[in-house]
Amino acid sequence: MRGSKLAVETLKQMGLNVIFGIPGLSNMAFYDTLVDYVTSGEIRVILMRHEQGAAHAADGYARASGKPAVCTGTSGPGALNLVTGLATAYWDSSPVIAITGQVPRSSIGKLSFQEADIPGVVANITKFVVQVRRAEELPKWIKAATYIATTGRPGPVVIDIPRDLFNEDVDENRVKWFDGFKVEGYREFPEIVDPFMVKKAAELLAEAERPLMLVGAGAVWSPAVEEIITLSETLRMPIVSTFLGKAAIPNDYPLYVGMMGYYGRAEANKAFMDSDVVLVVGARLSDRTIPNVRDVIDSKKKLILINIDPTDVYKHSSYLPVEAYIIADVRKGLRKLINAIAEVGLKRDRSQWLRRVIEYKEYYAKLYYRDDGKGLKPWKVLKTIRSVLPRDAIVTTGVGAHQMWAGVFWESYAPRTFISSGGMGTMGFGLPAAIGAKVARPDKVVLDLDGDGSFIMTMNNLGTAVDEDIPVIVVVFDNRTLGLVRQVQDLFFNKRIIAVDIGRATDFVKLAEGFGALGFNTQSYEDLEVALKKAMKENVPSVIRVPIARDEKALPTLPPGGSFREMIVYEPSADS
Amino acid sequence: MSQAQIVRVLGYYTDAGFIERIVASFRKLLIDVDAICGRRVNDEGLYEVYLVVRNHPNFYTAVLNLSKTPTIEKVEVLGYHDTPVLVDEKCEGSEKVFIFCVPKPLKTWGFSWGVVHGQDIQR
Repeated sequence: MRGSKLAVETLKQMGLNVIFGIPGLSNMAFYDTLVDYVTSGEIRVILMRHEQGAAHAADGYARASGKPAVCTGTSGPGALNLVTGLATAYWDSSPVIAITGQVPRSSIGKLSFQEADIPGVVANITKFVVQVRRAEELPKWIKAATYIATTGRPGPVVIDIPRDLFNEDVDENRVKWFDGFKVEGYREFPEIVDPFMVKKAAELLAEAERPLMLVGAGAVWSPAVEEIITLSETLRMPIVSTFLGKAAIPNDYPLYVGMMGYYGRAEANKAFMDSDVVLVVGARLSDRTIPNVRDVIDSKKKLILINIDPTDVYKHSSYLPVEAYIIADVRKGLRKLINAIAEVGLKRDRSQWLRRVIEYKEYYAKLYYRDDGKGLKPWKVLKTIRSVLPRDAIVTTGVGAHQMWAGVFWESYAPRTFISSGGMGTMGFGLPAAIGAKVARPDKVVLDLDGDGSFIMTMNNLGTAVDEDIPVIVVVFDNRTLGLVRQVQDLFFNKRIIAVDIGRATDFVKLAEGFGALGFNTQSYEDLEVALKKAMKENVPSVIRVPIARDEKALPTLPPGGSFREMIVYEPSADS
Repeated sequence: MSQAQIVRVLGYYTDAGFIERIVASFRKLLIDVDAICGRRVNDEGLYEVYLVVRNHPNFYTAVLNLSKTPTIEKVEVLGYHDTPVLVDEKCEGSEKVFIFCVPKPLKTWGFSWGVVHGQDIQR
């Protein structure tokens, strides 16, 4: 059997039956073998317009489905173009499997045509990389890579394959397929559930005056909607989320306060500041969620952590007041805690605390939901979209001001329905991730909330959506500027605006039509509603342009490196 | 406090990137490496690598990160009253073998995929 057949057969056996990528010289034999599998319908191959899009599409597929997906590129530039997407997947713990072609073994290290040291390039931005040296080891490493990508804290892996291996004939008797293979030096994290710790956590929560639950992306991957709500109901405990944790629970759940963090909702940040005990569920407490650790330390709050990754717990314990922890998958950890709390019982009346949180919500709502009648307001645009889309629609975002508006104002109702580049903040993520999500969940409406600056970075993949009949809808918040950067220049760099504004010439409707998609230009909320309904009815790739004022801010925010005590909730000069 | 820490890393060699991964774990956290030596331990590809690294506030994070890196079996921090950091360059014992000696530690802390052996160095 040829090496390429070994590789493809292994992918099929591992259930990796969707491949996003672009063929070239060094993965040509791999693609040649795929012809038979595509013809028989066993594997779907999707030609992206740039390898960055391929990595994001595989990432979107993985986040929407919970299953790993494959992206591929040829050696040199093809593989190098995957890099941003792989880093994006690593920072957000998404199981992407990249198969990169490499120059033949005899050419490696000689500045050969389209040669790049991909293992060296990606080693520190992926969970694992291996350069395969023998064709008979292809099944072993594809299996190992998939196992590593999907277990523990999920993450991207790269399998770099010199192209002569694809052409090599392998004695099938020498191939050890999957039986009994162990990845040496790799283990899943242990569960560490100390009954004493669980009891202590239960008592801390039961006795807390102002308990709060902070849910992160781990609660989406688990998922644990029922357990989160049970615990919240039992303890009368409000919930805040990280940006990527938004979809961990239905956002219309009455005790959900909103996303906290650098661009988080003011009431969520205030609730966090006021809380005395915080149960952190599946969150790695990045500098985006807690920009300044003094906010935790000075408020003398106590933290309880539930996390699958023990090293996260140990790290946090070295500088934060962690009183108890459970090292386990979120759902399992929460169940242990729920059982323990049933024994301990609720010891405090929480009505005053809940009333305070509700007052925060009501107070800040007056500041957020303003409409001076001048142009379309981001919050109202999102409200309009939400009212048209089904509850189970999947939304991806680009990166920029629109992403922060989505974090604050978009309502997600189920895990895996809000997909964004959180850790890496990769502009251009939205459209290709939407393509991947739609391939994974063709039964769902998939919509990319994007900004003009972000969309334009990977919009070439619209051609893929059209050719492959992947009916995603893109809503472009078109403020003709890199809004979030402009905002920082405006607020914190003495209004010295530079290199952010985009000219008027780019026509998103014509660009959409040029790719064969539907294009809509809207001027009102009614226009937007009509366009969305038409896009869903026609069920073809569509781009809807929504004009937004250039100076529309993404608020609340903090000064760079600032504390929640320095939140900027609204512009004093803004017209009410 | 000692100026350096001695770390022993046990892991499975796939290619020379194995060594890069170890060094990068410290480099990424701005920690300088003063000395490194290592060898294959058995025929299953198990290697041990010793590093002398400068003390740094990020040391603990680097060790934890390295201890959950695929192919790395275990990371040990060797404890001494006063960490020896001088490297003897004489090695005149033999023309046929490499010689490296690691001073015997007073105690050892082990980190392996979330399991901490011995008292955690942060507690």
